[in-house]
Amino acid sequence: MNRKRSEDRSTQRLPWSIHYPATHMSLAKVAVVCGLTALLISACGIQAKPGAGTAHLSHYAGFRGVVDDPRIPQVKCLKSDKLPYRKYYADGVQHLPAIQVGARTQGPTMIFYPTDGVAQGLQIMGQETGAEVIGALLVYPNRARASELTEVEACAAIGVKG
Amino acid sequence: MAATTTSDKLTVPETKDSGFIPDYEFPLPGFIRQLPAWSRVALIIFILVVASLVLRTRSVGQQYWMDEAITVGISSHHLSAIPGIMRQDGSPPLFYLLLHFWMLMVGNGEAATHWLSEIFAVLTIPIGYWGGLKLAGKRAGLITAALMASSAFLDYYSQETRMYALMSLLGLFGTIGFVRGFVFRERRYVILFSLAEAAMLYTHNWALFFGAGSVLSLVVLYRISGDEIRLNLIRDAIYAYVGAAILFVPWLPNFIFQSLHTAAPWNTSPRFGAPVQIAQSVYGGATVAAILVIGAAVGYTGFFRKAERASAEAKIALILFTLVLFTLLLGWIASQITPAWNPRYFAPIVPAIIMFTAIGMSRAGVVGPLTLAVALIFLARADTYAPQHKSDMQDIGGEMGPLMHKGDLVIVGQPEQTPLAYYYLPGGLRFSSTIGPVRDPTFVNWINALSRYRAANPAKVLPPMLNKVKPGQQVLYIRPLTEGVIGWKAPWTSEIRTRSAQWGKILSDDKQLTVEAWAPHNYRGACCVADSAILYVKK
Repeated sequence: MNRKRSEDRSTQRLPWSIHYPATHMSLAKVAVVCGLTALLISACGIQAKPGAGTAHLSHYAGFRGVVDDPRIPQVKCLKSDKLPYRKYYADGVQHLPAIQVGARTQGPTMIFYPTDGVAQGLQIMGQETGAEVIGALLVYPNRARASELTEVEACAAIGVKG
Repeated sequence: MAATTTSDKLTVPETKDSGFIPDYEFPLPGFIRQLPAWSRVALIIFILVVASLVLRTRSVGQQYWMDEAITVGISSHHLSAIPGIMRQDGSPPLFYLLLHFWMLMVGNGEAATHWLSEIFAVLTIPIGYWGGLKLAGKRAGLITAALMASSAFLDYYSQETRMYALMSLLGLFGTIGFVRGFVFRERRYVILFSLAEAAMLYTHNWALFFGAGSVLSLVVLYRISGDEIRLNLIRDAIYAYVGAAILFVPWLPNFIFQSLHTAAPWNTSPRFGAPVQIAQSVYGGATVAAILVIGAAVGYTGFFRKAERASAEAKIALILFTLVLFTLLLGWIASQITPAWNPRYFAPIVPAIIMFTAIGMSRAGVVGPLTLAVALIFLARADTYAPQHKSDMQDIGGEMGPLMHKGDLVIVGQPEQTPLAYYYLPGGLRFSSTIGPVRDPTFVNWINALSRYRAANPAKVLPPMLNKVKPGQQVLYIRPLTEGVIGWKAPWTSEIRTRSAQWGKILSDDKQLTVEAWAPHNYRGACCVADSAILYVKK
């Protein structure tokens, strides 16, 4: 009698039991579960890191390094003032970000140093006497017109505190 | 004999008429009044969530600092390898495991991983409301939600790939469970407390202080309560703590190993600045702290009257206060022996501090909403509490990465910055720290780290490595900018400052090495240790 009762229980459909194929499950649920599982298994969220020496590293999503170019606000400013400019890197191995406004030796030159302190130090130690210190920039007036220099100085001052 | 209470089993009001803390009444337009109460609350919570997301996503894509890179590095390993790596790291594994699955789905970029913490921080808003409601009524619930949405602590750690936002969320559950379970004597909340404590133990080691602090708070509760609270209190407490301990048993061997072999040698013992640290990191500054504390203090003045001193509300306030106090006190005392003190470790008690403040403000009549409004003006400034620049390694990677070739050697002056350098540099490079060669740069081996560091003589460790560099190959030396003084006083950081200079000297004196480049060219400052880098090429 006990055995019969046990068999009855095993064949009885429990309220939480699932009978396969579980066709009554909504397709949306199945899709979500399958999608998440596929994502987890494929690990497609993680971008592969490109190897050192790969050309155009910055084009790869897996390369996380980003150059923090300090010239961006100044370039925007010069553009809005319609001043002709050229971006370049100064001083050989120092590779200092720089902007030449107008013609070389004629228009003002902006050279960007890593910190305000470096720019100040160069002036204090008498190494860059022909430049104005504006924040972390040394601005060389050269032979610029007064109005042009005023505009360049205003652009150079963007983000400078005090 | 212990004092007796004036109430029987505690209840919290569901409506303004039924309880001890009446709801606010605002002159709302008719169409809003017609909405059901739950929808009005839901609307407020929704607005708070949106506002907090606006505030807390401004820096969500910001670069990592070293701790985040270590976290991402560990979580990038195969699931089965993570617990073994954690033995060398010193932290419990829960956040790392969650991050592992999260990264598999959404990636390992800065914004992607910050969003995991963002979600935990957002959840504290509705759950904070629920907790405040359960502890002291709707008014306290709404103020708790508002303070959670504008919390300086969560502003900061919602945009950080570390466990602190999760720890605060778990601390919120733990606090609600603790008060409802032991002050209101509802056993299902005791279970919630037990589960939250276990989850916290798997998240951060300050869960131990939270647990021990809660035990001491229970002693206080037992002392001041009558039979309606004392009945079976000890039994329920034993169930709760033993339950949490049993759940923690699988990790216990690792925890013991970590306790014996890893520590935080970069930390220093705290002095008496904890109130200032709470004002800064939890409330968001002295001004906001003063405003909120005044609001709460006005609400709590009633407890100085004898009639209210033994009330149910006084017990709730006292238990929240003692929970915070004892947790801090235990953390402080333990840190005198082995330093484990940092404002970010306050994560589990941030909810208790906020709820204690909110409940006080909710009792302060018109002063409550007024002080809240003024505080929110100060708090609702985007980017005020999240650092603008955590590190400059992203820039160093951006500048140096394209110049490097497979097999080049990267030497990192501060060993724990190696995973950060690895994250921002391209693949295929060899890594070393000032302790010696690093086999896996994705994590830090903290086992007996200080003694190993002291034993690593630069004159013996560096030259053999340089001898292995072939002509034409490059060496990138990344060393911390040892700005300031306070951060470089601990035994570990002091060693780093000296070692970095010693290694720098050996490299610059090496006649076979020529400087090829340096970085960063644009240093904007950093909250959490910046670096400088010099790239040498071997002749």
